[in-house]
Amino acid sequence: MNVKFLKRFMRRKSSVIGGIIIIIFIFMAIVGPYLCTQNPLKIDVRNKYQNPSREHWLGTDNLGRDTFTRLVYGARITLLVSFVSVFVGTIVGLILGVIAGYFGGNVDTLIMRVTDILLAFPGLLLAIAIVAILGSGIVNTMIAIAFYSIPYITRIVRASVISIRELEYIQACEVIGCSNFEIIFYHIIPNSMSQVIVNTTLRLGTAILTSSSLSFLGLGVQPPNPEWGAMLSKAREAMQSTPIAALAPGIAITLVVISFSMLGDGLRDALDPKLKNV
Amino acid sequence: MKDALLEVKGLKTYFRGEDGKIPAVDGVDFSLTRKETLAIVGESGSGKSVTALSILRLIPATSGSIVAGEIIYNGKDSLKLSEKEMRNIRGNEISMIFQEPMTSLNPVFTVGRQISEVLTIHQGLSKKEATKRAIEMIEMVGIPDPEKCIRNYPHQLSGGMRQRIMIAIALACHPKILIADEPTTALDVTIQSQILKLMSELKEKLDTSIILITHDLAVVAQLADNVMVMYAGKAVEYSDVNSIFKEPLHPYTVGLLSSIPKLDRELEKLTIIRGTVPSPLNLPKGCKFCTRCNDAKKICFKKEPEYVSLENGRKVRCWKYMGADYYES
Amino acid sequence: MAKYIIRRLLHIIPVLFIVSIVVFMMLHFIPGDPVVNILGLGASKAAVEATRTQLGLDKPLYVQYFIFLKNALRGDFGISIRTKTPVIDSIIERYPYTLMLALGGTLLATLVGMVIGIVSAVNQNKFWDNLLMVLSLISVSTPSFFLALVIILVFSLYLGWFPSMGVYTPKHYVLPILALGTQSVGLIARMTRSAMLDVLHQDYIRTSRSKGVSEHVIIYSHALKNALIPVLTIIGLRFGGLLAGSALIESVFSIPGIGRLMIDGVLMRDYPVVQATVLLISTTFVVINLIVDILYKMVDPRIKYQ
Repeated sequence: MNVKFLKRFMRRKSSVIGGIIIIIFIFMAIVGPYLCTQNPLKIDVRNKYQNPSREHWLGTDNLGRDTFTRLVYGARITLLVSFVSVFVGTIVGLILGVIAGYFGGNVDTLIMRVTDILLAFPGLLLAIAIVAILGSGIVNTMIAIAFYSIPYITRIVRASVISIRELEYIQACEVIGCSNFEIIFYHIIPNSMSQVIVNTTLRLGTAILTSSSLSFLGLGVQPPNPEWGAMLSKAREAMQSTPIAALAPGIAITLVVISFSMLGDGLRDALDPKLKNV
Repeated sequence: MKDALLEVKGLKTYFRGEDGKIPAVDGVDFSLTRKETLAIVGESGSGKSVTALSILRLIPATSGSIVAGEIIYNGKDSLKLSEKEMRNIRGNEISMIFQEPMTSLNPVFTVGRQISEVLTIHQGLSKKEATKRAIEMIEMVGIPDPEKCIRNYPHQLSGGMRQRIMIAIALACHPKILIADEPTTALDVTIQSQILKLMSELKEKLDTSIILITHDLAVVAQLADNVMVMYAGKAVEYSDVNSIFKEPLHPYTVGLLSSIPKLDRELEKLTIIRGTVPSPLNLPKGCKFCTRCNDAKKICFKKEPEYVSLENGRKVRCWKYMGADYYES
Repeated sequence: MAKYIIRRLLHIIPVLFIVSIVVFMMLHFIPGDPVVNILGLGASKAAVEATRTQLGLDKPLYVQYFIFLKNALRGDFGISIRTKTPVIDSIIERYPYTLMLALGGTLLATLVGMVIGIVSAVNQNKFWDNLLMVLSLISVSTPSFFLALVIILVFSLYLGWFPSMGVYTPKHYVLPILALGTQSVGLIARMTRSAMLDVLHQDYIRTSRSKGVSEHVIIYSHALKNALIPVLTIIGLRFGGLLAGSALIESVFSIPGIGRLMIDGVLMRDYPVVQATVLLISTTFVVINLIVDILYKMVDPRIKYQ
């Protein structure tokens, strides 16, 4: 099964490229800071808004800090925020979806009502509202993004669970005497996983867009952390003189989000070609 | 062929597969005269549906194409016509009805609109006139309360009624030829016989020739004048309907007929044709039926027999009928 | 049909109620004493107590909620802590701008997106399809504020065709709507393409071809009418997303809309403003979704005539 999956995945060049780009960025996030020679926080106002040079590969920002180094450090923050928040959101969504789908009845209705409420708020709005309550900063941003990812995953998992639950081999399991726990863990969850994996990958891209939006507005990750969205916000004033200060983080965000999209598409086709319209 | 409405010569339609070209139809000849009902019989994969679609050039370009042959209609080779000329023929002079009435009608248009559309396109009728004719057609196909029916949407009708609507659409312009691709396969048995009866009546009334694609020999017995049996993309036998039931020539036809369980006899086992239909990418050398044939001899595995005409207008593609010297060697 | 509409209306009333409760509770979820949060840590005890009574925060929670709800339905959202003027005044002044942006963006996204989707579907896997789908992917993945900056750079700073700040003339709306709508163009294009491809492979399209209908009519009438149905739901969702997303655009283009009001409110802990704006946007979102839902059911005859 694994070989076949890899073969199918490799068939799509775009997904492979997407995967490679993500791996490069992950590498950059983990190892990059150790390889950078400059300090991302070192302020040198005399050198602000420099264009690219040999010393500063991508120029400097509004406080004279090296843009390239900040970009590399920023990768860490961006990927950390999105991975953690989506991961948490997926786990919670998975649990809620399984409970709702498997046990049905009042529990299901309750969980679905809550999901409907959460979905009554446009995504960004929900994140802003949560940040409004909890305050800004990395942790709160992660909580906000996790929160607004939960309803999507819950819905998908629930639908998947309901369709699997009705399959005959689950009923056969029950007859044999499998416990609920066994059925859920060994049968239902593995079968829902392909949809969850695809959705989670796509959510990672959305999470990055949301977190950078929040930071851009001053609500998310706070300075002097080199979050890409925050970098863009500061670079606005120098758009005409030093466009690279804004272009660099912007292109970085776009590139990573595209890669997650392509990766997600590829995973979907490789895991289950029948899911074409998810 | 004297006063033939339609003549198909050497039709070859190939599909693009993942691992190579698939010869769905590999050299088929037949003709159709006025008032004739020709049944094309075969299993799934024999190429009968593809033949039907090829006549109207409805093979999607992304899937495959007609690579050889001629289809002479009205004195012209329709394979050489422009798409615009072809559109004038479709629905107008040659129509088609399909197997699945559930999915073959557009769900967002009323049934009346779907009928009157062919009339406005091909006969230039105004909306009012077309609607009037549509009501007449609905009545002709035996649906009660036609004025109410024209405002219905397909999902509001039963399967049998939908098939009647399909027939109404196909016959609205009084075409010379109706191609029916498994028209009753998706319907209940009782509805089946109603639809067949309807087709028979309309054929007489409107002077339409029918090409009937089916795998169901009972349907053949009820409607057909002549029968062409297809196997693995080629025609293997052609005959009038009585002869083919009384005295089938090709071993495949023999197998098909004997595999119909007879109700008046006690059976221990159902008769089958051994083996399975070969994959189009892996056809046997020689006669395509040789691996499953009880009468196969050495030559059958080596060379493919030609499609020869016999005295009574019958045709067959089998070494058994090409002379003892070939067959026994 | 009418029964369905009534059922849906009954459905959203509890949703709206709960939305209002959630928004109301926002103030009380904040760690710490709400009054201290409003006045700041340095406020004197007397001031805190006075404000508490003044804002009615000394009453039991459910009473506070009913007061909140009653006032909200009357349009009274309290006084902005920052400007000391009624919140409702700012909202009335600013909401139209945001609506214009969101509507404009949705319209742009729908028209352009659908055309792209149809062209892509008809040319499946050929040059135009591949190119347009790549562009769609890029448009969906680019943060709208980045796109806005790039648009300003190109169209305003380099080419000087359009202004980039404020909304004094119709010309001022062009770039903001472009920035806001482009992200959704890609989404709608992909959805339209997907729906069209689905439809074009259906049996009834084959029937249409066998009737001799021209390809043009098949695509733009027979197929599109079917594909429109799923695309409609996306358009509704997008409008809501654009209402919220306009905060970013208003920020970049210095447009005095609701989004910006909300963000400023959050940054300055102006809770009445935050509550009012969040409530307004989510309510609009819920209502729009309801309308789209009903429209969707009316357009699909399979549902309209049960």
